[in-house]
Amino acid sequence: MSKQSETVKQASDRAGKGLIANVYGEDCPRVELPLQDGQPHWLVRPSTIKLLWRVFSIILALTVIAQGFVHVHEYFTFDGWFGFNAIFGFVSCLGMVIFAKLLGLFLKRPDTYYDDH
Amino acid sequence: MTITDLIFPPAFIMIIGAMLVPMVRASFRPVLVVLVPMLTLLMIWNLDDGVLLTARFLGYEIQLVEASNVRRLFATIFALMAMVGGFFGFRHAKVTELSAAMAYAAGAVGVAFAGDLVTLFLFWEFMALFSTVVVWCGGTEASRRAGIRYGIMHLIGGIILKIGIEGVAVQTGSIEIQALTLNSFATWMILIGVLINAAAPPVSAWLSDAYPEASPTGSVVLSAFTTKTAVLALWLLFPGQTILIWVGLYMIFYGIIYALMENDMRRILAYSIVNQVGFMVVGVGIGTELALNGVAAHAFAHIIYKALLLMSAGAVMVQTGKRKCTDLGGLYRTMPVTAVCGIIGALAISAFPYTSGFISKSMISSGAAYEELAFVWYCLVAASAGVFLHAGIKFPWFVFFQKDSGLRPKDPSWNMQAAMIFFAAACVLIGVFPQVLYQFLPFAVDYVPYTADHLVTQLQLLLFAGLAFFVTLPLMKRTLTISLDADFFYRRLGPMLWRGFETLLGGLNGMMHKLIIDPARLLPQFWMRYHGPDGPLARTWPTGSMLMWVTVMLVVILIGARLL
Repeated sequence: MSKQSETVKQASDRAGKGLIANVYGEDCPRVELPLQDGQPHWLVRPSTIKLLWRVFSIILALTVIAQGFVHVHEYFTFDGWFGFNAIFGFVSCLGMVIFAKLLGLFLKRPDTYYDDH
Repeated sequence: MTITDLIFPPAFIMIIGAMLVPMVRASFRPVLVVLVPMLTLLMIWNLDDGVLLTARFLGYEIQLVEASNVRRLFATIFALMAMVGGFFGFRHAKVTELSAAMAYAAGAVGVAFAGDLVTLFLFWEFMALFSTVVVWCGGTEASRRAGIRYGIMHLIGGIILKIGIEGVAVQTGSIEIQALTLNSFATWMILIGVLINAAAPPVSAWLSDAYPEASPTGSVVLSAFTTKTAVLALWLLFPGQTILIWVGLYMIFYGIIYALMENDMRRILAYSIVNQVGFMVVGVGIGTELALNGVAAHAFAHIIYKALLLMSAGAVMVQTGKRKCTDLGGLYRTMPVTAVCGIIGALAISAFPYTSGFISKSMISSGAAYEELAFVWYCLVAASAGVFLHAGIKFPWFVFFQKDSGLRPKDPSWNMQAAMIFFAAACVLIGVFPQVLYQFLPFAVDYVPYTADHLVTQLQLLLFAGLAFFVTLPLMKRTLTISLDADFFYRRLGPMLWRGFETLLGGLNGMMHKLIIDPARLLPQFWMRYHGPDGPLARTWPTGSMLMWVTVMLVVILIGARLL
């Protein structure tokens, strides 16, 4: 396969302005991990992450509490319940993640699956 | 100034532009890719409503240009997309690609203004042709193969569409584009032909197969036109067809589930195109004025934020050469502009308040609520949460945050940054001032997106979906995998069956040889022995032996005659 793509590339190089795209990211710098410069970026420090979780939890609580002060229009049976969107959003996402995980057991293949044909 | 007598369709400006791209100097190319769509926009916005240009074609009176609100809106976003996409890519994309992309966009503008089915079909195929070239411009062996599969799929779709159009033309005598009823084979064929371009099941896989193999510019351009012209065609031909609700719901959840399983960032975004088009297909199926308005608004908003997302993914790919989530991560450190623009696109696709998705998607789900379609509405709400999950958080998280990949790429070139910032600004502008978009919608809008009720419920939904993402993060550990889809049948099973068939044929062939051909060979062997080139009866005989045999025969005859 690589031989074939090389011939395509050679042909297009000869034509000068062929279809072959650039090779990307050749000059992308890369650092050796773990970081040499000591302190990690402030955003990934455990203390920052803990703080972010706290702030996020407070915002989550506020969105639910806010429903106490706002009249939510009810079209059907459950959608006017207190905290309906919070629970429905959380549970349906949980369901989709688990469903995708289970389906993946049957459908996932190595990403070279189609390459040898 | 308004145009009442046209001499050529707006699409022709861009076709000429596409032809000029390879001819002008490289330094003039960025000017051209911006100027040509601008001229097209100018023309689009000066068109009066109604049929403006007709011609005779194969004995049909075809309507090359018919303008209306919804057509103008789609044509506008197509031209705008050609402009920003071209500007994004002019430094990296090859000339072939820039030119093909503009021709492809011209096809989309042509479809938007097609007044009859024949014109629609012509521009439809024009798009198929040049979009295939754009896929090929990915320049890799994988994109060459994906382009062939993509081309075949769209040619098949085109044939099905053409069968339908011919059927309708014969049965009704009219090729007018109008709402059709699904009461004949021909109208069903048209529906199927259009749905293939919308990436509907069971062939949704063509999209996630082809688009991610194009170049970084190519996938930005591709994301806009084919599926959205299909949405416009559904909008014009099949509003209110209930079956579309179910097709659309399938697409919505297909997109979410496959995107959740995916590792390649551009394939994640490709699956989410199917998901977003699913929302539009549902809206067409609901078919009320509010829902149809929602579809038009959502298509407009979607093209912008999806292009923005693919631009940020493209920028990452250009700068790092990587596209798998397993290789990426932590890029926010050195690519802040790309990360912020990507996050704005991700928030917009998730319909976060004060972004464009919020004011468009909610029109579709409200359309379902007002029609009292309870099941559909609950599905749409769950899907909105799912969009935040698979595109809104998953894409930025795995590309720009998660682990530190050690990659330290810079933000991309200035033109790429400018294109991203322009579209990011558009997402926010439309979100904050919905009237900017609402005033151009096909029906009068009395929909108010920003109520306290709507804000609270949407924030609850999305933020708790976000909580679900981080809670289930261990379940989403990226794997070096792809997921089987319907393309398995033609990429793996088909070739496998073919090889099996070949083996079977080979076996049959051997048997035939033993039973029939080998015995039958004996017959010609027998003939060859006497009549073949060296056979005694076919040899050239010397004159002497000839004379001798003639003498012998004469003697035999003489003796015979004497005896009688």
